[in-house]
Amino acid sequence: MAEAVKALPQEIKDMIEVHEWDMRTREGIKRFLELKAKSLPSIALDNELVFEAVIPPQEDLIAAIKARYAG
Amino acid sequence: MYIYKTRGICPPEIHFQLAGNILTGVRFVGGGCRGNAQLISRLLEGRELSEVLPLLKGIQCRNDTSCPDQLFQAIQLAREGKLREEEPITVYEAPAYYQRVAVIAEVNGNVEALRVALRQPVEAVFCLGNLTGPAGDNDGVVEMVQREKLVFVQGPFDRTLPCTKPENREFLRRAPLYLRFQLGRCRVLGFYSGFIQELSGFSDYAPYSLELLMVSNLSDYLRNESVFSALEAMTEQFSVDLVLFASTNEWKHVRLGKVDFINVGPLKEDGQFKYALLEWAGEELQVSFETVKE
Repeated sequence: MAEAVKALPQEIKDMIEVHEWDMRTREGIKRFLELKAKSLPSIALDNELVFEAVIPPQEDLIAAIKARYAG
Repeated sequence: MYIYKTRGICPPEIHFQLAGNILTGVRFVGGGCRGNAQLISRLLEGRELSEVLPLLKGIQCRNDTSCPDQLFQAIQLAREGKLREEEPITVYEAPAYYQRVAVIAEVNGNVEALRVALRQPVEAVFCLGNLTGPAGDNDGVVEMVQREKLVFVQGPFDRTLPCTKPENREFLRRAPLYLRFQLGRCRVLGFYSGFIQELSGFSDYAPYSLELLMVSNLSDYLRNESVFSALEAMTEQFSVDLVLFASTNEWKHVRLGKVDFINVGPLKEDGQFKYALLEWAGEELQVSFETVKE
């Protein structure tokens, strides 16, 4: 999942700040439950789950980011 | 054991032990190059600090430091008394292979209930904790456990409700926190509950922490079914095939992916004695919850 985010074009990366949580840790599990996530992997934007149980195609991820932060 | 939180390198923690001037049990955990880290651990095992420290000091990899350099700093802090030695999270590994065992929990100082459990037609009885209880004959139970050589792990009562005899208190204090045994081809892990993570020597990256955290923190002891999909995904990283736990007074068996989870309830319930019977038969695990009437 982190790779999908790392592979984003620089102009998109500049629009966001990325945090990755490790599900093997107490902190990661806590975050997972806070987001009310159910499956792995998951991507949230602004504390809202956007993709669950899927690594989204890059264009879908870019579209979701642009819909929130572009312009 | 020492647990050092690293700075500037891939593994978030380094674990190690010092026996005088001898370094043992070095583990770089939670990230980084696993192969290289394991090689370093093997090369450093049992070596004198005077030999090791000059090799580690000042190596650069990233952020003006490296894994060896961070280990150097950790050892220096330990020697200066600035890094605390933590309580070890102990594991009992049963040396024998089993085909048919009984698993009990929550004896709560009930000598008669324990006597019934020990009479069952199995190769071994394992207890997942709380031999002792607030109103039980705790000394009686501990003495029976010693006589019968019952293998058990600590529950929270065993740490907080002392026996009257000091030797029994000491016996409980030295008991392991995790149990590992082999049932046929099934690798089995047992523990009481997530209370282990409150102990100072607990690390998210230590052996069996993943299994413990998935049961206690993620699934709330299998009560939060909404996360079962995530739990199943995480079982791919488990080091065992069967996870046994207690703590909720419930009896439950759930299989997710290739891992079986079994919640073992109290030994005495509603005037009856109960235990989990685990059997390896026909190349597969068979689980039943058995009741013995008074």
